[in-house]
Parts: sequence; C-alpha cells; structure tokens
Amino acid sequence: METIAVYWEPRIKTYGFTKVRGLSLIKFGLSSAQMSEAGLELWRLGDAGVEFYLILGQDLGGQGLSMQMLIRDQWEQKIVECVEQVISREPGGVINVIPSVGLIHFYGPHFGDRYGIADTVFDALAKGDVPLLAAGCSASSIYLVFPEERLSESEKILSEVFELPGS
Amino acid sequence: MKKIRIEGIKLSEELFQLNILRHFHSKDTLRHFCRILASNKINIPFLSTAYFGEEVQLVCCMSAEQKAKVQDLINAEASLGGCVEFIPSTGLLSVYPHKSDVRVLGLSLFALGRARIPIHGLASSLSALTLVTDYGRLDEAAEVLQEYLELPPGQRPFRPQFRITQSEIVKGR
Repeated sequence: METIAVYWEPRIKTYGFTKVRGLSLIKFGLSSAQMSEAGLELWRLGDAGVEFYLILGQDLGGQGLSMQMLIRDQWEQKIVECVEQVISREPGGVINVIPSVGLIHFYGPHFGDRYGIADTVFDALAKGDVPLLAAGCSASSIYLVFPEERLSESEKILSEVFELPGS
Repeated sequence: MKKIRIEGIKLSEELFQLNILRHFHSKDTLRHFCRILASNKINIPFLSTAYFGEEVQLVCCMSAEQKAKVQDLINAEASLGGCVEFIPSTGLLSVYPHKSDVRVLGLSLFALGRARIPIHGLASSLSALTLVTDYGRLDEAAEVLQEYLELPPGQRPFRPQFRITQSEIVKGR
C-alpha cells in the first residue's frame, strides 16, 4: 500500500529544536575484525553508566567503519581508554577527540518519508557559513554537531528555514 | 551476558547505499549533493556524515527503485567523480529504544561483528539505533541481535506494511 502526502508549508514544520552543550565528539576507525571486540568493550562501559548522545558510522569501502561518538565531556577519558584497548592492537589506529562541541537535534512530521529536508538543512548552514562537524538523519530525526561557541548562531540560521512550535 | 530488554526491531524495505569517501570541499559537496536529490524528489531515509577538516565522508541510503536514476544523476556530476561508491542492495535495521545506553550499542556491534554480518553505516536518533547491512542478510541480522536484545513476549522484528511518499513541496499557496 502506498500513501502519497502533500505538504503546503511556507517553512518546514518541526516539533522544536533541542540544544545540548558540554559534549565531546570522539572519532575513530574500526576495522570489520575489530567490530565485535569494540562492541564488547563498549558494553562493559555500561556498568559505569556511560551514555551517548549520538553515534554515527560510515562505511570505509568495505573495510570497516569510521565512527563518531558524541558524549558528555565527563565520559571522554573512559571512551578513549575503551577504544584505545581495541584499536591499539592494529597499526594505524587513531582516535581524534574534539572537545567543547554542541548538538542541535529536531524532528518533524514524516521527516523520514519526505524529500528536501536534508537539502534545506545543508543549504541553510552552508549559506550561514557555520562549520558542521557531523550530521545524522535517521528515523525522522536530524542531528547536527557544531563547535559549541557556534551553537546559538546555528540555531538562529536553522530557525529561519524551519518552523518551530509557537513561532 | 544478560539480555537487554528493548521494545522493537524495525526492518526497512530494500534500499541502496551511496558512499562519498573523504571528498574535498565538504560544505559545497554536501549542499550540492542534497540539492541534486531534492530537485529530483528523491528522499534520503538514512544519512550519516562526518567532516575531517575540509573533507567530508558520507553514507546515505535511498529506495532501491531510485537506484538507476541516482546513478545517472551522480555519474553526470563531474565534481563527485571518483569518490562515489554504490552498494546495490542494503537495508536498515532499527533497534528501539536505545535509551542512550552504550550496552545496546555495544551488544549490537558485538553480535553483528561476531556473526560477520557487515555494517555499512550507523546512526542514532532520539529513540532508535539504526544499522545498515546487506538487504539479503537483514532477517539474519535481526535474529543474531535477538541473542542479546530481548523483545517483548510474542513480538517479532517487523517491516512496515505501507509506505508514504511525498508528491510535491509547495512553498506557499
């Protein structure tokens, strides 16, 4: 069964932006062979109450994943130690930590089913010249990671092209 | 290893994946790429991207029905030449809720890694952890995950029975 929806919106409707500050973005690569071991080490961190705000991964040409993990800065050391245990066993493993980053995330009606949402986001941010560090769009949600000091500016730019409740 | 209770596992229809590997001029690449897709009314149900200085790395998935059209569009773009890779048949597996719990993430990577089921992409949302794998192994991936993640009694991984598509964007009446 297929349902076709038509949206008449001067600006794309959202259910509101959520902003989070005080985060660290940890970037590392995992080979396919390291996946299960890394999973096990991350599972062990659960006992310490470590939580994530966002996890992203991109295929490395069939050789594994380039990973980005967004966490409260208080967990940075634990995550780095955990990842180091896994990637240090193979040559070339690098962990890159970007401290003091912020997150804006939001969702809207049927975002997962509509074209043009990502285009609106990336066009607005490019015009506004805001440095985006990472982005994920899945399950009707948009997650955008910025340097923390550019978070308010980024929110302003996005609010010009997306409608917020009550605006 | 004690199973973690979850509420559901959702499987997608057949998709294909497009990877942009460490391409230069990140800001314009992404903007240009998304503009091409939007102007051709192509939805991107999954996108995961990161920046490395002036380079961008991106994976995204789109409906398998759009594969030929997208390949034609991308092949016609000289600016993307040489850095685009296609994976012909992929699917999304979404586990929810993850509750920001690293154990759900860890067990998902552990289970699929141990079973040598490829993970082509990964992205979380507020509730769901979404993994991309080969479409032909989606059911197997869901079975493997259930060795460590426990669904409510009687519940099975599900595929949506209907699909919503958008016919037009009209900015103003």
